[in-house]
Amino acid sequence: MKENPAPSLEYILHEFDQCVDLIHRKFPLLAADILYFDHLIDKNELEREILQPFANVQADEMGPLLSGSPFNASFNSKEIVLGILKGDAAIFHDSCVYLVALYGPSNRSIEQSETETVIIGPHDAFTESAFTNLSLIRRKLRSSHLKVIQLSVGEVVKSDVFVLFIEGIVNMEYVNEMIKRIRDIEVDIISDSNMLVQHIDDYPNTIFPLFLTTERPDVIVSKLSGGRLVVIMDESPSVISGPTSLFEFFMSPDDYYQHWVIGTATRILRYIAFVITITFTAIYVSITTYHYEMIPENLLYTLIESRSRVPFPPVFEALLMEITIELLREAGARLPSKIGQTIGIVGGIVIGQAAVQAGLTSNILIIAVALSAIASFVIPSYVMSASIRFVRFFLIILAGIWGNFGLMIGISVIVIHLTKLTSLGSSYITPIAPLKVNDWRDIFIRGPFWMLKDRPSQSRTRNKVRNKMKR
Amino acid sequence: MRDLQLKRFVWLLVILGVVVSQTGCARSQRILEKLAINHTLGYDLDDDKQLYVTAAIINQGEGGSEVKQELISTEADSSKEAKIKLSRQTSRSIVNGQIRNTMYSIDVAREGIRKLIENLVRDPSISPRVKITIVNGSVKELLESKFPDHPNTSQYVDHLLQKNWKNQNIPQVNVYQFARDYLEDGVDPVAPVVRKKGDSVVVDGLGLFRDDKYVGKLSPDYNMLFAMTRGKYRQGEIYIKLDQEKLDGSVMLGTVSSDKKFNVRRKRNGGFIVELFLQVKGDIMEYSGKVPLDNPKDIRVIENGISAYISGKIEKMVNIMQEKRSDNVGLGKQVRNRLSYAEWKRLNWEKVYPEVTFRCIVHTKIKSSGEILEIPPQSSEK
Amino acid sequence: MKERLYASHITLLVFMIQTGVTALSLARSAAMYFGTNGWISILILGGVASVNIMLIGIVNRMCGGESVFAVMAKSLPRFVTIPIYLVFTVYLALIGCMVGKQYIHIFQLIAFPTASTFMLKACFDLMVIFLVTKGIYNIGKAATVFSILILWMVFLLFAFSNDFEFDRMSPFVFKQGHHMLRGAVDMFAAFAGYELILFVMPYADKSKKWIRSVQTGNLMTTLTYFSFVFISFGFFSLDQLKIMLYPLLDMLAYIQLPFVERLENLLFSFLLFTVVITVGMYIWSACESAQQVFPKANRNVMVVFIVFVSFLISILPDTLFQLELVLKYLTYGETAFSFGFPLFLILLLMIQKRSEVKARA
Repeated sequence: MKENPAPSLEYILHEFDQCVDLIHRKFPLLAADILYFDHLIDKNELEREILQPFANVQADEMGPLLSGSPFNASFNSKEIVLGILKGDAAIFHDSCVYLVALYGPSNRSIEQSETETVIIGPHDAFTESAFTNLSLIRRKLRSSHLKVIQLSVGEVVKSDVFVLFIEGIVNMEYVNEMIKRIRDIEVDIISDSNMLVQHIDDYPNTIFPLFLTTERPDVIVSKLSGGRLVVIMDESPSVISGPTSLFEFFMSPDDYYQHWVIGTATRILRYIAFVITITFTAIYVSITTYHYEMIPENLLYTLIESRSRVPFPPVFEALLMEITIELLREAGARLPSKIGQTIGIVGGIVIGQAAVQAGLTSNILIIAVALSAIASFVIPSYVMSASIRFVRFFLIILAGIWGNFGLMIGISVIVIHLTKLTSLGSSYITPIAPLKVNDWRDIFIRGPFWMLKDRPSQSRTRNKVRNKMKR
Repeated sequence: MRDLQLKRFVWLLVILGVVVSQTGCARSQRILEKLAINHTLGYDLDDDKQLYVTAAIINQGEGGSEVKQELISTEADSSKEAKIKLSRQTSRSIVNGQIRNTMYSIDVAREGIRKLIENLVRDPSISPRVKITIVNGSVKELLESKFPDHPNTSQYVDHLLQKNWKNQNIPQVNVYQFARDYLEDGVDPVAPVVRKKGDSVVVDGLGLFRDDKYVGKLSPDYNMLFAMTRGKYRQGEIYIKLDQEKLDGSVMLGTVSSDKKFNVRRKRNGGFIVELFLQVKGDIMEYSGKVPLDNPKDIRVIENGISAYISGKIEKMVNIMQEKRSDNVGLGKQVRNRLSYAEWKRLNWEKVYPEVTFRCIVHTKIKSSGEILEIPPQSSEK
Repeated sequence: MKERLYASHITLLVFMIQTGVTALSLARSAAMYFGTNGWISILILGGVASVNIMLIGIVNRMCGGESVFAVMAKSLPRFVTIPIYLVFTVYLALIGCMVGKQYIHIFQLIAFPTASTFMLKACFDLMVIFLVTKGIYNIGKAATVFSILILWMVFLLFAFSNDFEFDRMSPFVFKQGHHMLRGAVDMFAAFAGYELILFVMPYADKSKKWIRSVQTGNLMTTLTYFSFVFISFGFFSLDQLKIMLYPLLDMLAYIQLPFVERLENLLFSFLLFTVVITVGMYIWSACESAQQVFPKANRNVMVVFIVFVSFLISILPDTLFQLELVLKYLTYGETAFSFGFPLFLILLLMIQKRSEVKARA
């Protein structure tokens, strides 16, 4: 442990040695020095809170002035260093140090979310600033029961983390567990909440995301009111909510803004998409490799025709095309959107057409692969859709080895794996196991609001009823 | 820590197992394009009473893209021996999973097809939906003949049967149904008969079986009537000749549906009377008689005429069956279900059957006479 | 946040343990042994199983949800219990591996005639290890998910409405059958499995509903069996049923959808789910029993060991005929166990209670 010497200008300056962006203002008349980072503070605030009062006082009036409101005396060097790093201005006067909170760097303004868009409903999304995010939540959730606990993570670099919950709705066991987990983190630096999630996972080795991360304040507000807790990390636009079940990743706020029939239909569509993504290519491989008898007669001829020129066994054919699609997707994601479109054309038309004409793949496989790729993008959560696409490869390989048997082995392994998973200690597949049929009306369908009377059982809230209306 | 190591060990085993079996399992792969997929199996008897098997195989030409039908045939003692012999004639491995149709020449069917059917059922790769068809003539000749409008003969026959079955012109007969009726006491199986006729194939009637032996066939006229006695009849069409006293001409009934009910009574001398009540409903599609159609009373006359026609025809059909001693309608089943077990066991149905009196009582209802009532004759004399 | 086995889990767990490959041939056994209208026998057998579960319920009430091992340890000396536990372990593991092997064999019969059962079984056993090492709570959860994945198959029964005929059933009850009693014991194998719930007792949610949920599970099994055996009696003719090895498979093969046909292949693979749970529970019970003999052994190592040894044993019977014969005799023993063991426990508990009363007096 380094010694913590008494605060002095020299020491602080020594700490910030070679930091050219540190501004050191001297007021010889007042015998005061001010240290701050120009880009972390709000210049108007500086003007109003420090420069103007300083211009209006004499040297002997400094004492009373500094004991006043915005000035906080500090006697701890470490605190001062941290304060400056956080956007405070440190005033050195008479061997005393005062900190003034002037934080106000330029931020990205509140914009639409790029990753989670909705058609109707609010369009604002979280930004990198935790305070902006908190304000977004507070604006939508005006309640004194919304509690915010501040924590920090990181050994070298401290990042602010806020745990939010609604008192009286949330189960405090979860909150305590979450706070404990965040406190137990001992790494040098965590720069994003998606990294933070991986440090507080129940099972670090699973490919399924165990906490929901979102950029949408309306989602977070609904999670809070559903009795879950929320973790905001400064400098990260994604906000974590937990405990989470697998099925939450298939929900979109759109479901609730639309009529419940439409919402239900969309939600069922997403589950169908999930099944298609996971199994479609695998079934193709399984059928063309082992179970030719399952093909209906009308399809048989086209399938034979399209397969007849393909030189590889179906597994390799399918893997080839799946990897191609993944390449296209990754290339498209890393490129600016205009070039991304070109990639789409190159991939969709050129590779697809040419591969069939060259006899590398059958056109039915192209349809299967494309369909399962499209289906994977239907899933609202990007993290989940990536996991599912990964799982697909596992199933394709198993289907190539043992056909339907392999496929079922694969599905069983996934199911057994899922049953093991927990999120904050509560089962990851909650409304199925433990079986809570009551929850199904908000999980597999989006029931009309008169049906959604209770909060989800996973939140284990004592305050169960959310809708007291009789109709 | 130990747990973790164990887990790693388990996963290592998984991966190892997968890799090893990948090589071990390649033998059982049946990759679609490497197969000679059997579509139709045909059985003939050649001159020395030896089974002669013909297989129509779906094959794409070497490297080409056109899927064609290929015919291979051999002489064999059984269907499985035939498979071995046939496989010598093709570059791909023959598989049975997609067989749609099996055809038997009348000669084969006369000898009894129990063994052949049994082997179809035994093979788990063969679908229970494989059709059973009797060919009037040589199966090989039928399959070999080229029909100008239908390049793929086996497929053509299969679709023909499928369509006729959908229209309820013929009963659906597949391996499952044949075996079911064969093994059930009190009913005998049937199978459709087809025949080559010029440049096409036609349904030539209904083959009647006693146990597994073909004993004769009904003419195609009886097809719908047979369907009516067998089960619920929906969406069919019947052409009826009316030749009672007051009636003449003919009626075409469309969207015919029928419900059946059997009644069994005992005769004094120990025989049985089986009565079949039929409720037939339909729309008049075509009518060439003189009775005006705009009068409910006259409609009733036509209805009665239709009823009489149908009941007469059905009674005649059953008489034919009784002559051939094959109980294809399943009268035995009806009688059985009205007896006690001991009585049924004592009864020698085979003997009793030809003596059974069969009556058919039909009740016809005409739902409509189509879009118009009648076009009045334009008499030029006036 | 301690996990428990809720009532719904128990229900579905019992359902999943009971249903298995035996269901495939159940209709044939019913036709063979009971003859006409043999489907009624399913209801009778279900009732018998339910009576047996009542016995287990009495055990549960008398010992207050305690583990059966604790009950036995209380009155029997250790040198008596150890061989009993060892026999349990061996027997349960044996049944488990044979049931798994049977599934693999049938799969091989219908889909992979040339693949080696050795590899398939090895892969299957790895999955069993994967499941059993997760503990009983997760087995219960997995059973819930799996049962939802296969319960929809009940709706497939509507696919047979076209070829179903009441006339085919004939008005005779239990005629043309033979060896009805032996058949009943044979067919009871399809219901066996619920007795494993004895070992689950201490892990379950402590409530009176416990035995009711076991009964519900048994009722579900009975109704599922009943519905498809009933359908197969109207779908097949009696003599046809008698000669079909696996009538249910043939029925499934008969289903035809516009985009896929010959579903028996795919649907049979769905049975993997229930077989995995069945085998998993047998192995788990075997481990539970072995744990009493070797209290300090690492549980996971034990699971791997037991599965490995049972895997080696399962190599021995290499034809389906042999296997089903072995399985038949094993299930005779199991049936005896499922009736005898609760009775024995009740006897023990009664003696205990009496001595308690005496001690108090």
